[in-house]
Amino acid sequence: MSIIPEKNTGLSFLIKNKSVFRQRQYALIIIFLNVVLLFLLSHYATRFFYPWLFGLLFGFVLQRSRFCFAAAFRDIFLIKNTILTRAVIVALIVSSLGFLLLEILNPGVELLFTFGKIQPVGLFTASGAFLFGIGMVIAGGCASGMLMRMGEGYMMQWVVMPGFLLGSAMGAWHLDWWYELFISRAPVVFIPHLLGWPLAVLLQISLLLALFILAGVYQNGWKGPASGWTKRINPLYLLQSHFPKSPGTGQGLYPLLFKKPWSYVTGGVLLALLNIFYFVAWGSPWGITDGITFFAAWMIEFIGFNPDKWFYFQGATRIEGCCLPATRINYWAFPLVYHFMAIITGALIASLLAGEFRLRKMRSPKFVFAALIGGLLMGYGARLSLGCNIGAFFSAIPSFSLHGWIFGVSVLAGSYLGGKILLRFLVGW
Amino acid sequence: MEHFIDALGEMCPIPIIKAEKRLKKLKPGEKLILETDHSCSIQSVTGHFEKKYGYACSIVEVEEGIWQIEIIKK
Repeated sequence: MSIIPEKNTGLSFLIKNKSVFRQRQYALIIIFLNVVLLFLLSHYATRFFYPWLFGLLFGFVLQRSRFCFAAAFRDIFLIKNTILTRAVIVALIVSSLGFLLLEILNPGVELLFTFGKIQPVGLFTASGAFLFGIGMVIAGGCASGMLMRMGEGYMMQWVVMPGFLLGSAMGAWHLDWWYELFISRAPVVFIPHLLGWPLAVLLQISLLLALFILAGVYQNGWKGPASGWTKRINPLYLLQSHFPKSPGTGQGLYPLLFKKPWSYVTGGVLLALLNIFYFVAWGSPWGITDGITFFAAWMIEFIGFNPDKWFYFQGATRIEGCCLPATRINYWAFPLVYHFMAIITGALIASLLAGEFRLRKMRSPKFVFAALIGGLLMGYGARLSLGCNIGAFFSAIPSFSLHGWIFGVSVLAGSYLGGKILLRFLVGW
Repeated sequence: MEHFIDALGEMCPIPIIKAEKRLKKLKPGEKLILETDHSCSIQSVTGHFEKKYGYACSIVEVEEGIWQIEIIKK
């Protein structure tokens, strides 16, 4: 253990931190390969360019700010802490306003209704999100968190992934049945169609602001350490990182950007902005699980199943960018398959640049079960509710679709039960 | 007196739950060291105890991707 004085800047920081220096070399190699890859994609396979580019950026921001959607729900109950919840709410406000701006900039096309994350809403939304909420707590992260942590070298999340793939495949397989019974009869509720744009926007923003304040009061009371009104709403205060001083992190631009964690609100605002740009570039807001489900289908083709006829993939023509020949579906040609892989790569790069990558073992075998079951619940839940924390929540609420809110409330309920399971079985004293 | 919790290989929020439970038993001024390899923990643990309880925290990265978080009860 070496304690390094605080005044390390730039190059001297790197020289004194051999581990950061060594891991940074790997990071630079991977960045170089990705630049080459992006150049090739932009010339020869343009459909794959944006999903890959934005995957890297999303993964990078997720790792740098340790932005964890699972914690945003779970920590409310488990440790009575809403710091991430509030960051998610800030991100939802930013992306709602951004999506609204896109709608205004494209008059006459009903941009959000046509291309946003709009889905039918019903009991299946709530049930799927509830399963997803249980799964993400016992698996130690939701879909985005799983990908981020796979990039950081967590063995546990590499076990969650097979569970998630199996769950997604089962969910896609059963979707025919769910669709006929429930989903086809459920309404699509686009709030601006119901209330008109001005009221919908006013209601959404004031509800988010109210939740933001409520979450702060829930944690700190009216007179807690951060209870002043100025602190509650001051953007500069919110964006500031509360990472404590620690020997070895040093000062200067490199540690600030690549070593010290960014504040949660910084991460949330950046994710919201990326989501807005991704919407413009890709034509649809951020979503993860469609890509994972197509990858699952690609894998189960190898073991002799034929998912081509399943409703989920038949209905996939609605997913833009997908190439759907009448007879045979080329799962590998679905661009979002590579989006989730790029998120893993982006998190890997961020982790290496910080010199904190390592293969992280699980503490005991019970975490293997937790990971598999959690992954299975998340994969299946995401198919049933037609999306995950990202597609059916983080992109759905700014799309002004009611199913995003129902998903949010139900995933919150699921995370409560997941927390009980975690306390009962996974916390070893 | 120094107290130590080994939370290697445990995901969030288990390190926080363990630390919170142990800190309740400590006297003011006593020090708890939590060792973790969970990169989210370094931010979530320190944020939790600094902002919610006002305890002083500091972090040492003892190895690549392994941190010792020192929390002093107030």
